[in-house]
Amino acid sequence: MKNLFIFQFAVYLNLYAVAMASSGPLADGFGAEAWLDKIHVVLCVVALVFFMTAALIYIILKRK
Amino acid sequence: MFIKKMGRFLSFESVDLKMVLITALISYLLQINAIISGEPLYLIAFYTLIPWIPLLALEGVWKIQNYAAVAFLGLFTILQLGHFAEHFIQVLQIDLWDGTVACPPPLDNFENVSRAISNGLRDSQLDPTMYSVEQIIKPGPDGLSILGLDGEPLIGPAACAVFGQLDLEVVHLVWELIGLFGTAGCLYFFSRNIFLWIAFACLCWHALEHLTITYFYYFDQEAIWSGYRQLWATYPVSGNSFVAHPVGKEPAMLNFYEAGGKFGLMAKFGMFEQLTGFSGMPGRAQLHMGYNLAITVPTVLGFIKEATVIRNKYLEQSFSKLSTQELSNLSLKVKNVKYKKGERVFSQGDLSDRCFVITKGKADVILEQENSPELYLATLSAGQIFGEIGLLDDKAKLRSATIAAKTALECLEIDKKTFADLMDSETGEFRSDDTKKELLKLANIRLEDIDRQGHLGDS
Repeated sequence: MKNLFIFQFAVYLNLYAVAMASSGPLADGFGAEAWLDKIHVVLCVVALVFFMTAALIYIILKRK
Repeated sequence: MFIKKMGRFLSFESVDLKMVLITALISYLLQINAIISGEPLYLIAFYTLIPWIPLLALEGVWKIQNYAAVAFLGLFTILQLGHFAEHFIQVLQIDLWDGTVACPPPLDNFENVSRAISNGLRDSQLDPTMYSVEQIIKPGPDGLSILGLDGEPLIGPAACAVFGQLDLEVVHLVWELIGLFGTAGCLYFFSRNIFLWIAFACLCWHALEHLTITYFYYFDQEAIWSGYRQLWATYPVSGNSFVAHPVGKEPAMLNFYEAGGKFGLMAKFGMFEQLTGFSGMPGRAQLHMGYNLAITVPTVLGFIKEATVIRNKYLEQSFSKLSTQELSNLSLKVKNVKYKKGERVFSQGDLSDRCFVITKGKADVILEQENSPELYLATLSAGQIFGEIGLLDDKAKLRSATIAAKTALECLEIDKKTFADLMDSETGEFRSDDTKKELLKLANIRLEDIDRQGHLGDS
């Protein structure tokens, strides 16, 4: 039981700061402009997923 | 027939019943102890599940060894169902039970305890316990508790499902990628399964969401938006069950993720709504439950499609001429048996009433002779059949050699009736001429070998 608490404590030390991180309202001033500034990130992710998917489909169909 | 096949597949086949019962007892005792000790729900669930993990891992490895890729798909489907259940419970907590999304749930740590003491909510003698809260009093726009019609604060569960401590962006991403590559792995073996392709397409879309969100979470730390952070005070309500009480907000500078990136691409307040001005997308929890529903349903259907012809890998090797459906039916009729090193499976002269297919380990074939030492004939290994000679020859009826386990040995046991069905090419269930020819050929080789070795032994 004691070891479990130590484990929990070690894990929680890294977690408590992120409570509410995945919830709460939008910050003031956050909107379309904010996303447009980061659109390159979204496009890179789209490209990454596209190529990853294409590679996996190629490997699957090659075996067939 | 399908239920029978699934029943067999989902039951413990490699682990002794005694071990299952002992594990169930340990699990039950830990669960009762956790309940009596007043532990929160997530720890009760943790203690209940933990004894089963080694047993399930052993069984999982055995299933993959014996059923090959179908077992991998089955285990993967069970994990997906568990994942979907977590999302479903979270949505129930939010929509039915007035839960508050604060994930991972606030902890009974030093800061939250200090606030509780200074607000007169907690005895100053109680130290922080580091437990996660189970319940949260709903905060209003001012960061203080909202009162219901009865004048009491509105309270509900911490809406982070059962294992809310794992409600972290990295966990979501890792699970998503396991799903994506796992489904691709299943498609590698079952590339004609349309359901798995549908699940794969949904997983690719889901990957867009989590890769974007996780990128912002870890790699965009510039805090340029002004906002607030909710402050909590925590105190025990019963046993080790804690509640989080909202005690205001503190101004803070927020990074992209905290300011709005956490909603991702398609959820309410996410990129799609921001760029189009459309308002009406589901909240993040509801949307991601939807994604997981779109992934899990085709995965389950894909598994059911494959499970209708679930078959043992070793029978497939030994009876290569049988159709997939016949092998699947034969898999239901065999029994798993185990022998310790040195143990005899049967002895020369015993009545022939069954034959065996080796699934693990090695067995020696030994010829016993009067007034002479035992004569070693051969060593058999995984995928090989033995004991069929006595069943093929109606006159023989007795074992022509002894079989002893050279190592720990695991076999599939085929009884006389099933074997007769395999050999009867006209009225038997399997009606395979090719299988009959193959087994007769194998038996002839064995008999010739025994005769030759016997003569050598005599001379």
